[in-house]
Amino acid sequence: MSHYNVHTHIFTMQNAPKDFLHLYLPGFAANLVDNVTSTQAGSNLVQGLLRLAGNGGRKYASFLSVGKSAHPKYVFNELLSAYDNDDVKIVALTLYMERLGAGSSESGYEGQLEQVLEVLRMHDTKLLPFLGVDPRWKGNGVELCATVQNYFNTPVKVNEMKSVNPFYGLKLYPSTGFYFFDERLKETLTWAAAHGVPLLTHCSYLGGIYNNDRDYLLSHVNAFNVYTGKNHPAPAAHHKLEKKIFRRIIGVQKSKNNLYYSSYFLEPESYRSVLTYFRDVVKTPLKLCFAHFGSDEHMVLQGGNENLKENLFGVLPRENWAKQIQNLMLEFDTVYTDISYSLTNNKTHDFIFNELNKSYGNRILFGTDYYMTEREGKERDTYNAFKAKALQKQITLNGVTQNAWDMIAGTNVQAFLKSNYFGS
Amino acid sequence: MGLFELPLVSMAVSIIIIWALIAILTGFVHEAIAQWLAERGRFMRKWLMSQMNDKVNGINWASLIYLHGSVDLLTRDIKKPTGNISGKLFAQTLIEVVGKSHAAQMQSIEGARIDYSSEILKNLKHALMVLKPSDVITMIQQGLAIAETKAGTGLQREQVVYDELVKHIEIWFSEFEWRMSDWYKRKTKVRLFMLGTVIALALNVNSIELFHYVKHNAEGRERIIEYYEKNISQLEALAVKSESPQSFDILKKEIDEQKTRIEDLSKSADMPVGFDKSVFSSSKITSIRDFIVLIFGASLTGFAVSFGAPFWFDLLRKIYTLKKV
Repeated sequence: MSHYNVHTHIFTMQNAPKDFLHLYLPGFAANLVDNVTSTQAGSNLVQGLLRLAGNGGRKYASFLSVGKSAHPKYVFNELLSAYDNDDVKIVALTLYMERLGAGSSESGYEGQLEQVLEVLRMHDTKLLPFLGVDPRWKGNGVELCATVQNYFNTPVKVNEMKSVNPFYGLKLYPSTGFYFFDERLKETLTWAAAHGVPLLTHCSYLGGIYNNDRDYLLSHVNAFNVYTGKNHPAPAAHHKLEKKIFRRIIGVQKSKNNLYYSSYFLEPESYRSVLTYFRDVVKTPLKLCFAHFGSDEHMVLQGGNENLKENLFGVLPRENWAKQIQNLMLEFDTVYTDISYSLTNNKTHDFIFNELNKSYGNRILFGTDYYMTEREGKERDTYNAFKAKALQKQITLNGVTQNAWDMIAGTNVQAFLKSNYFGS
Repeated sequence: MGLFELPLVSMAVSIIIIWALIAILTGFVHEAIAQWLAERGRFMRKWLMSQMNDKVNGINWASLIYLHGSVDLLTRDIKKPTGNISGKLFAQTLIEVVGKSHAAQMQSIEGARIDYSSEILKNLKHALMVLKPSDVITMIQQGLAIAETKAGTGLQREQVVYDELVKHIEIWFSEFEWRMSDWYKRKTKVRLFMLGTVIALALNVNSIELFHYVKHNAEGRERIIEYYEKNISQLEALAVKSESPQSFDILKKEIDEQKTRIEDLSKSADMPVGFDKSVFSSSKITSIRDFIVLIFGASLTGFAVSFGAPFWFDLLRKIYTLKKV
């Protein structure tokens, strides 16, 4: 049986906007790190200094080392080397990052796609790219859908004897500044539903990439939902700008507040109207995976039946995101989730194995979120540790008994990926 | 008394010769550092990425060129891109990556006919028809149009078209390289100044002290000028070499040899130059005035060195032309 890692990234800093590091570091530090790590000597120096800062520093050093690679093919080779002799197929998610409020990327988004397709030519039996989609990529929804279809329907020539499909699914990252219910996505979602094309959307509370343009956020967070006919009720009444002196001094307060605003775009509840529309009106449900199961923190809270300590930045401020995803999986039988990044927290493992026993257990997917997870630990260690545990667990669902590993990394992912472009 | 027999003129010429010799040494040290940091390669990549960034089509063609096997195989390390991409390799790779790009392949024009049997030219022509007219695409389109005109309708037409197109892009690339070399020189000026100042401190090439030395030491001036006149060709060749990319081992050898030349000249002309005469070996600083003079003198040398060795040898050549006249 083939196994899959449904959530990885092979883009490099070349594919990220020029002020990307400003999302996470004060401006002066971001510029310094970016300039110094451009050379091998500088990169070694920064990594050496980071290692002196202890475990946390070592991990950032590892992340930086991969991210500053010259090309996705080096990142992919590094990733492949983590699996030893295991036959693992890898879903690599491309990401449209041109509208984060952080400038544009060096490679261009279409350039990122060309680079990934070049890696596909070299590793056509291992790599399953997903096409990152953003309603702001093209002028309107019709153009966006036509572009997506063109990308999907043009095979990539591996050699004179063989061509393969370029993409196997769509990736969305709403916290970069759009809602899943954005009208410009409708044609693309309709096409995806009609062809069984899976969608994978980022869904980790206050984690990941976000839009760093305050004016943009304020004018779009209350967007009109074409599926409900109403404006989305954001920001919530309790939402207040954070004002911490230390954060102001080091220059990260503004970005923090932008991160909180971006949370509304990601909240699982904001997807409900679209999922309902495609199930009940179009009668062709969307196959949608909420990545990260809401975040490791929320998984642990949900697993321990614990309450939130404070209101979340979202329209359901008292419902953690793992619970919101569980509810959606119960309500919609084409909603999935994956455990990427969250699995690096060992405290989530019991929760994950319990979830596999539930009615939606066949819709929980294995992913790691390489190379974001290099901050937490090496891919090889993350993969081997989880796999070893999962192989010990037997799950019986719908009369079928199999070990948790074959389920979460095998049959579940195969079902998710199945479409007119895969496995048919 | 001829102009060159005037003490002031021979003083100036002596100082220039010393600066030129230090500039050669600094040039080699700078090249060694640049080599170690793969700076020329990174500089080339930076500017190619900047120039070939096709925002209209959303693709940075330079990033695809660097990814291409033919170019990637020239790179010794992912963080040390090659600085040795020939014009021909650049042109051939650009033609291929544009033609093969998925962004082009996935678009079609109804009723369009492309009369090429060669896949490379067919793909390229198609790409130029469907991609938006950015600067890069326009440059290639112009090249193809010129190539097609030159090729006419002969039997070897497609080969001629390809060769002419490659030549067109090669010309663009060589003009780009020339400009890039200019930009690189401007970028390295500040670095040469800083490095030159450090070397001046290390070898006690204090321009103020040297002015004093050449003013009061006619025999010393003679020795310096004699040394230059005996070794003009060799020194001019070294000046050019000091600004050219070379292997690390060769640069190390040149640095050692140039250091030896300077030390030997310093001994024979009894100059106050050498590591044993520097602030690191002897207690030269006994007052704030000494410190200021040292720093200012070394900085003056650094400033002179930042012009580069070829500049000073050019000046010397002009001075000697005047002398002959």
